[in-house]
Amino acid sequence: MTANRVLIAEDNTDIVRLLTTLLDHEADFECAGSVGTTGEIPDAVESLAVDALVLDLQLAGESSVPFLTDCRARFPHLIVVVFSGHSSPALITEVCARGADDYLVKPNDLDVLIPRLRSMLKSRR
Amino acid sequence: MSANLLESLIHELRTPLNAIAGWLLLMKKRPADRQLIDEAIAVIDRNVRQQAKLLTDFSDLYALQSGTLKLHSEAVDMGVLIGAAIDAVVAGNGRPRPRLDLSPDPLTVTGDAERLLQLLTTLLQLQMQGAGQKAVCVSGSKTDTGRIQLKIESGTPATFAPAELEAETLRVGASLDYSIARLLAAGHGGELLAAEHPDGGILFTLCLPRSAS
Repeated sequence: MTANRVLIAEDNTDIVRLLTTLLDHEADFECAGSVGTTGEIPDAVESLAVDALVLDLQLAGESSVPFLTDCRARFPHLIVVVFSGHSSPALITEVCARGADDYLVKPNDLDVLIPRLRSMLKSRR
Repeated sequence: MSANLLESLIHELRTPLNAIAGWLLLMKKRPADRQLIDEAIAVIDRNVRQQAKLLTDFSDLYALQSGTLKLHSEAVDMGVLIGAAIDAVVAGNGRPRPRLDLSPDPLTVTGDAERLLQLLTTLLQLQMQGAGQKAVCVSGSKTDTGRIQLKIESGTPATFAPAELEAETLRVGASLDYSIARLLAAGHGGELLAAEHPDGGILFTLCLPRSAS
C-alpha cells in the first residue's frame, strides 16, 4: 500500500511536530514535509509529490486565504484541508469558496483530521 | 478592547490548547512510547504556561480598562528600573545590551515599581524582536513640562508597524503586550506612543509625570 503524502503548512513548531507524529502513526499516511509560509507551498507540493495539504490560515503573520485561489487553480487535484483556530462562519464560507476541500477548527476537530483526509483521498481516487 | 484584538485573542488561546489537546491524543494512542510521552509532557507544559500568560495578560488588560487594577504609589527611579528591565530581557539570550543614554539627574516618578518594570520590559522585548543583534537605544531625560521622557528606539526595520500596534491588528502577543503597556502608562498619568523611527524601525516614547518629591 502506498502511503498518502501530506504537506503541513504551519508556523507553530509544536503543531508541526504533533501533526507529523499523528500522520506517521497511521499506516496509510506519511508526512511529506512542512513549510512555514504560503510562498514555500507550490515548490513543496511539486517536489515532494504531495497528495494533500493541511493549511493553517495564518502563516508568519500573514493570511493564507488569498493563496487558496491560486493553489486551487494550480493544483486542482490536491486535497486542501484548512486547519485553523479561526471559526467565524463568514471566514469558513470564504475559504471553502476559494477551493478548500474542508475546514477544521483547532483544537476540537483534531481527532477527525485523519479520518477526513482518508475519506477525501479515497473518494478522489 | 477592539474587535481585532478580541478575535486575535480567541485565536491565540486556541493555539496552545490545540497543542495540548493534540499531544494528549497522541499519549492516549501510544501510552507505551516513553520517548513520545516525555516529548508530550514538555510540549504540554510549555503550552500551559503560554496559555496561562495569555490569560494573565488578558486579566490585566480587563482590570486596566475597567479601572480596577490596584497600582501602588511609591517613588521610583526610572533609571534604576531601566537597568533591571534590561537585565531581565537580555539574560541568557545572547543579545547585545541596549545602549543607555540617561540624564545624570534622578528620573524619579511616583508609581507602581512592579508594573512600571513590566511596562519597560514589554517595550524592550517588542523593540528587540526586530532588532536582532543590533543594539536598542534607551534614552531618558526630564522635560520642561515636568515630565520624565524615555525613548526606546532601534533603527532596524521592525517586524511590525507602529500603526499595527495602535490598531491592535497584530497577533495577540504583541498587540496585547502593547495595549497593556499603553494602559499602564495611562494609569500612571502618562502616555505611550509608537511612531516610525527615521531609520525604519519603531520609536517608543514614554512620558510620565515627574515625582513631586
